Amino acid sequence: MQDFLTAAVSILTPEVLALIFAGTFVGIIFGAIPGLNTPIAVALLLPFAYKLETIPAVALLLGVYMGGISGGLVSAILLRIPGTAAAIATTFDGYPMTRRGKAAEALAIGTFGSFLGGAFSAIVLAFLAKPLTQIALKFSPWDYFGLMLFALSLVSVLVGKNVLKGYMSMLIGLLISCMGLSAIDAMAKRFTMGMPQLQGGISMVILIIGIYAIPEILSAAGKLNEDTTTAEFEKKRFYVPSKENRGPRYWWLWLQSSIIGTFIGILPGLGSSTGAMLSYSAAQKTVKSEVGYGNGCAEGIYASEVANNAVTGGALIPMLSLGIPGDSVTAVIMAALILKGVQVGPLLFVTNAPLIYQIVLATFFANLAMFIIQSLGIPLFAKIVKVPRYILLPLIVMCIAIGCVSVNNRLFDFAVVLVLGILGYTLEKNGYPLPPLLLGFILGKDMETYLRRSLMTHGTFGACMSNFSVGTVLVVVAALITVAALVMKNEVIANKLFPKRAAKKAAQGK
Amino acid sequence: MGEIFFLVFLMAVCGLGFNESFSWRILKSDTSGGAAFWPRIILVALFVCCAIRLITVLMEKKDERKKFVFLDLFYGHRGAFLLSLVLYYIGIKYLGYLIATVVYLNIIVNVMYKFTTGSFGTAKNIIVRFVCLTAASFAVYYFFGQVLHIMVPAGIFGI
Repeated sequence: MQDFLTAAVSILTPEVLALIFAGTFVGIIFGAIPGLNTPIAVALLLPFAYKLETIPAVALLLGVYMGGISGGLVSAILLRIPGTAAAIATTFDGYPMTRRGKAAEALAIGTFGSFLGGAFSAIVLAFLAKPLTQIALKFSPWDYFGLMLFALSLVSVLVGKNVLKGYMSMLIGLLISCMGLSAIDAMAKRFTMGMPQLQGGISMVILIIGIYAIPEILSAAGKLNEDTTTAEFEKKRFYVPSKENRGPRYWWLWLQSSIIGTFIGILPGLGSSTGAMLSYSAAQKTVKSEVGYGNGCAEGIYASEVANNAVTGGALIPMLSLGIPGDSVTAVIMAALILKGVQVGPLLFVTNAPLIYQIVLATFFANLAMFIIQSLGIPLFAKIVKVPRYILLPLIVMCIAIGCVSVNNRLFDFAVVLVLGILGYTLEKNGYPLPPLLLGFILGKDMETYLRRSLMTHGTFGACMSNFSVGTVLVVVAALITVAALVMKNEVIANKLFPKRAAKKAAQGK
Repeated sequence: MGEIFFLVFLMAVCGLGFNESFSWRILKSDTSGGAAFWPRIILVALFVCCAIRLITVLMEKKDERKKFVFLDLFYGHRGAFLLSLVLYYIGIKYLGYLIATVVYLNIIVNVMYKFTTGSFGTAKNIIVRFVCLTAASFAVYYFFGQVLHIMVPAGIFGI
């Protein structure tokens, strides 16, 4: 208690609170603009943070982190272009809600959900950091592989109408992730087509822009004469979701998404996009929606946004307790702590306990700052959808071009974006869902690494499977999901297996 | 018919990729299957999925098949916009980001304005658009180049 009070006194100063708000604001801007992202913002502010004391420096960087993850929802909801990978699942229902003229409501739901997820993970960080890390430590490469395979099969099955197309999309994503030098040994230049620029593979930012932004822009360019969305909304100073979208019926969804997000955050490498996708898939199965998922329901936005912000607190847990950063942003924050002479790891809980609480409180206040800034900014954000297409589309292209160049300091990536854009447009317009492709790409490299490490440890795939563990269970479940989905969604096979159900359906059809 | 071509194309890519994987170097001591192990699993799985889909499409009656959307990408406003993106890329490569962006924005916004409203608007409108778009180009160029220290592409004129 003494440590907590000491931490509270050091955080609740005008300087630290101002830095949290400033960091959050910068994070939201970087998160909202496609092509820019949180790691860039954190890296840019690192030299500035170095000049500050430890607590203000960490507060500033945590503000950027929380703001950046949440800022991605703005363009995801308004333009169907996720500002960050974390906001991909937010597009599923956020954009349809905008199309229904409820842009402000969608933004308010996303912002509120982000706050809930972030606040939950901060509380978990305060109380369960140590024991949860011990559980995560027991995960072997095989368990990680199983978890990733499970996430992929779940998303491929649940997103989109045709399971086979979902799997094909996921496999294309996995294939794209293979481009460049091979994982583990860097022995082979795979699928580079003789281009040295592809040896490092394709950056995630480039893929997101190519697969999401370009098809959306091309699609909108073909409908110049159609009316743009009318985003009429009640004029308020501070936006929170309407009563019908924040009642007790969402409590279970909030809790479920928060737990999924925090747990995924604890596991290094999985990231907020996986957390949000898994949470969305789980919500589809467990929480009913009156509007329907994919049609602009509040449940879909909550599932994604609560989970992706819950990842942030979760990702801080292994960083603080083990010195293992959960993602690229926490890696930079850890670097800032080390530069300040703080030794992160198990001893931190003994030698510098107040710092843990200071980080917990800074995380909480950063989420609060994000909630306040975004809720106040909603009227401004929502006006984006009213900008005429003939101005909006070229301006987005301008940002995309410079965003592509900023990733690797080369124009080549802009050409890659255009090629991926054509692929994305073709797939999307023909019913091949894009989220499995993106998740396949995000997890592909790590899946290969974990699978090959497992094979090195156990010898053969059979030996991996016979070693009864979480990984084996998840691989079996993933296989069962795949088979069940392919069988159940194939009418010919399903009708033969379940003749009674087929007869009932036929009767209903008549 | 379009989807059949698409699936055959994907299957050909899988075949070529699978063939290429045999040229990749593998350490003799590697017990993890080597660099080609994982891509081969994906390629085979994708090939099988494409084959199943192809059979499904072929089994469908011709009039029940959904139209495959691809060629509309190259027609009308959409095609013009795609062409503008390619020209913008070429422009950045040779003229540099700043000049190419100013030219691109001023042309594409006015052309799209014409497509949308049927005219280019008054002379005053055109001048206001020119000033705003040029200012936006300079603002982005300054922010990324000077504030974020990103190497913005320079063309033959050095800017």
